[in-house]
Amino acid sequence: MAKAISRIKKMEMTQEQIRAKKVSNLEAKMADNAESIEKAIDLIRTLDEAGTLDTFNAFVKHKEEALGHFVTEANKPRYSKTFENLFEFVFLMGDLDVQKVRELSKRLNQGLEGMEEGSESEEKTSMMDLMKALKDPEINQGITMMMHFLRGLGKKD
Amino acid sequence: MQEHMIINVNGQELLAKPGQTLIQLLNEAEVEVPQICYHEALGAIETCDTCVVEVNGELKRACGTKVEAGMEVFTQKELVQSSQKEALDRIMQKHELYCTVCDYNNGSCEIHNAMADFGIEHQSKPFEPKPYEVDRTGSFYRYDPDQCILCGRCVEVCQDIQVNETLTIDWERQQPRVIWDNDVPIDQSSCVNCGQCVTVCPCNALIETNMEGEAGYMTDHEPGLLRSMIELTKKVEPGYGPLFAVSDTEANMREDRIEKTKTVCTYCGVGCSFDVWTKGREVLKVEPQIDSPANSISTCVKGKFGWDYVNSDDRLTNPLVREGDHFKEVEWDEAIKVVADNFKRLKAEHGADSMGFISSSKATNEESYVMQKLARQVIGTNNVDNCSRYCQSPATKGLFRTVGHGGDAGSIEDIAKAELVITIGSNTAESHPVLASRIKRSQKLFDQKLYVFDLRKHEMGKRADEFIQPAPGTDLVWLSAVTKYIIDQGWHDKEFIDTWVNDFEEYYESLKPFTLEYAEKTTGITQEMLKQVAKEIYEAETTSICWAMGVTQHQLGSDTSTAISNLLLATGNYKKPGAGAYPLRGHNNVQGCSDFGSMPNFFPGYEKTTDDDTRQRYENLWQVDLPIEPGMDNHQMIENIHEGNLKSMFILGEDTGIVDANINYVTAGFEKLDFMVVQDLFLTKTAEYADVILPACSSLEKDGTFTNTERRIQRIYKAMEPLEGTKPDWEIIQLIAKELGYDWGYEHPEKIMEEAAFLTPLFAGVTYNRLKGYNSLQWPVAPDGTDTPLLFEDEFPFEDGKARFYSLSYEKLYETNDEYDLHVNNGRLLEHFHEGNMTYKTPGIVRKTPNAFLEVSPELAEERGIEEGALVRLTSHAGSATGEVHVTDRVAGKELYLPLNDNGKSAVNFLTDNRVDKDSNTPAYKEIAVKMDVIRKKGKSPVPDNNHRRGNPQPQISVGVERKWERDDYTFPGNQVSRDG
Repeated sequence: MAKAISRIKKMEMTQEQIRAKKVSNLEAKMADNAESIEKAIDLIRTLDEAGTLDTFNAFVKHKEEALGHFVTEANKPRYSKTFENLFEFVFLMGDLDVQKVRELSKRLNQGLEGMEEGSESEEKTSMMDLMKALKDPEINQGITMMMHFLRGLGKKD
Repeated sequence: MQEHMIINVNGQELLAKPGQTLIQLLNEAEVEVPQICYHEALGAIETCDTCVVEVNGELKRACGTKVEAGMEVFTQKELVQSSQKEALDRIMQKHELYCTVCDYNNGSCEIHNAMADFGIEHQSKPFEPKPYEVDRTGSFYRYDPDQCILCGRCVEVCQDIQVNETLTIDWERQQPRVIWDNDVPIDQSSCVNCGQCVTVCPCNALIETNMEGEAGYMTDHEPGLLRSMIELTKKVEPGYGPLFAVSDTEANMREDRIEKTKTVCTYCGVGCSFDVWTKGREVLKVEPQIDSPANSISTCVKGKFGWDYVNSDDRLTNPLVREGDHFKEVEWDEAIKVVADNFKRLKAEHGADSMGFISSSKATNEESYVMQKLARQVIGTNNVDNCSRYCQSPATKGLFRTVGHGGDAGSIEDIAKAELVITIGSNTAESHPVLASRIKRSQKLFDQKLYVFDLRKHEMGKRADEFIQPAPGTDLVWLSAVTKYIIDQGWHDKEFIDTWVNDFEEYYESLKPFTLEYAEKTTGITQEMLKQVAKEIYEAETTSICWAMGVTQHQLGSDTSTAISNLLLATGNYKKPGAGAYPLRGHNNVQGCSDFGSMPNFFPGYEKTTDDDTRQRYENLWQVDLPIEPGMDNHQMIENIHEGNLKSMFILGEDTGIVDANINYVTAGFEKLDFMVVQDLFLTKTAEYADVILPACSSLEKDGTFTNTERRIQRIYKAMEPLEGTKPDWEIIQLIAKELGYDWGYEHPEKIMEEAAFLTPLFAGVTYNRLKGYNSLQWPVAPDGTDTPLLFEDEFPFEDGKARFYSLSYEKLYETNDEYDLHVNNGRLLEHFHEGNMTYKTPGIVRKTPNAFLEVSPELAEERGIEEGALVRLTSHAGSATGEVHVTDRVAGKELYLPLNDNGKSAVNFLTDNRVDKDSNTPAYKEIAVKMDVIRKKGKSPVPDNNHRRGNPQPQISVGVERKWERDDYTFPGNQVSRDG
């Protein structure tokens, strides 16, 4: 003789029992994934040692505001040129011949060094000195390069 | 043999099939052409102009061009490319690209992909916002006109696939847009929330609200912030190819946390399959696939949006054991032990046959198999049955008598291509919505004739070429009279009958009483109409007859089903595509639950328990002696409780105390049981009587297979882990068996299927491998995996290979009288399922359809002086129910309609009684005579203003693209580029 009933007496688990159940579930998962967990601990330590963890933590906590600041700022008209340039640059990078740029920048550096050395002397350069200097093979090479560069610059596609 | 023709594409010869469109050919041959409005399931819509190619020197849309022999096509020429680019640019003008922060950026955005594939480098026409607000009024999806490209797919699917005819595009206004009905908010329209417009939308114009802010990593922000991010994304993503890489990467990252799992819907027998997108336990969306065998891209509101019950707080999460006046939560071990101990005790005290087992037509085939194995092998009784007893056993019976297989003769495809479809007692549009849509489409577009026989003028009745209302319970008479008239006229298929059917003479003789005069008198259908029906069947090359509970849930349910099959045999409507008998199965696994042996007289595959060879096979494998004589069916179980013979019941996933007829009698029975176990997701009305309740899990939380109405076995995959504390039914049954000393050791449902297939010739070739993904098998399945989409092609499954006519007689068993003067019909509502345990947990459904309501005809309302919202009490001689009145012309005269989807005071089964189909014991749910008392004369309507039944559909064919072309601001891109040259 069973009448219809609908009252349920919940399984009474003390806080400790619930905790213990969760801990034992967790333990099982940890044991199954020991290797990954050790690696994760390593990663966390490294991040912490580098101070990144704190920054990251703070950033995540304030993600919505941070993103808001960034997006609001980035949306201001004065940045639109930046974004356009950014993408122009991306394409520019694609067109550049990196090998040549490297050679050029090496020479530019040398030039800068020379400039630094030369700037220490107080002497003035006369027309005669210029003519003489052209005989110096390094200067001559430099001037020739500049002339070729100017030619290239003026050339139309 | 189909003729092929040769088409020249870019200098290469391709073979095309006649009738194919050019775009189909190009896609097959993998010739790349951009396409946005074109969708394989929808056909050509011709709105987006992106698929323009050169055909015989002229620029034309590939989707709107039929292939012709010798056609010369170019897809790469400069003019073609610039025309395509012009079309794509126009789309970008209407659609803002902010992919990375768009919830639709899941790798399947067709705009994104088309632009990326074409290599569009920048937007040459800037995006132009449209002056419309986003429509967020609906329950389940929202429309953003600003993102809408007016491709018209949503309109096409609504008008011609679902055929609900809610959506149109208003092409004439300054800024065209998609509108609902006559331009009302989504929520106020006739939209039934089938969700198909959202499924086919190529972008984020229509999106499931569950997806919003959930799918992306960077989309769940406050509206203001999201808007700023969109602006920023636009700046950094102005259509540059390389930058699609960013959004593509983000889309790939989403795959990491959004699981897409194939499953099969549990809401009716159509068996729609789809991917369910989950994020943890959250269901984000349901996406039907073009490869879904039963439904393709279609769904109804329940399958698309009705999954909230899975995460309902009402789910049981611990086994419950009765203790005095309450249930006590216990650990699984303890609960299983209580069950096993009591089963042992009862078997020892009263014998195995004192115990009854009921399987669920919502559970898997494997679960039906282990339930009958538990009953037969472990307990030793054939007292095992399932809920198809409540609905479909009579249909199965009728088919066994005549053609030998108890299932649909063909596939849904066959119903769609029949020249004539007759539905009898089937509220198809609400009970089998996706299948109904196939009929609606064929009738609307392909000249299919539709004859609807029903008491109630439901949607199919309104659409029918002829809607015919026979007197309740008299279908057998008009069916027999029409058959007799056909034979009298010599219109029967003599050759078919000679070759394939036995007992013609005897049967024809038995038809003698069924004259047209007699039929007219009994059914109320005029003789002219009966002749017209006969002529239609005779003239149609193929006739398919669909029927449902309106036939089966009568005292003559089996006989009427037999009469249908007789008619089909007489007219040769078996053994050919487009024809046959289609008993539309109500629940997802009504077919499979019986197929896999949860029946008192059958082993799996309908092999009789009394057949020695069959039994031997099972005894050998199971190593026990098995009971021979058929056991009790559901109905007999309840009777036997009252008689004191049945002491215990184990009910799996059925709310028997609500869904069985005459529930006062049923629940009184439950009270008398010695021991009762219920396995369910919820504390149902039935479970309230149990001694032990075992918490099961939903279809999304387990693996297995279901069999739909087409006899199609389909795989379901686990989309999420069972809710903590719950287990799949098969695991629970296995635990009980083990505690009782039978260690089955199934690790996975696949092992159960292996055993069932090994034992059952009907399923010999069924393997999980063959059912992988969207693959399916329609039984019988031969050992080599060959299945049978169309039954009886070779022969009928009788010894001589021939079907047989089955002679019938008719006796009127039911009538209203002076006291109980009204007839209550009952059935489903589109948006709710069964007793409502699942669908009432979806808030989006409840806000539109909060409860069942009683449909009353305007005539009757006037006669009784009641209005909309009145409250009435219905009383039959079995009990009474109260309900709120909705006055509608869907019912006529003294007919009432009470949806079965309620478990409160309106539950229809307070009214039903113990009368059953004489051949199958299916309750005669449809034969209720009642009287009506008015409690309140009028009130608030039980059908809210935002219910789809109050909408105003706007039927048209397709999207009306010609109206777009007629606009002054429209130029065909091909003409424009030719001119700009």
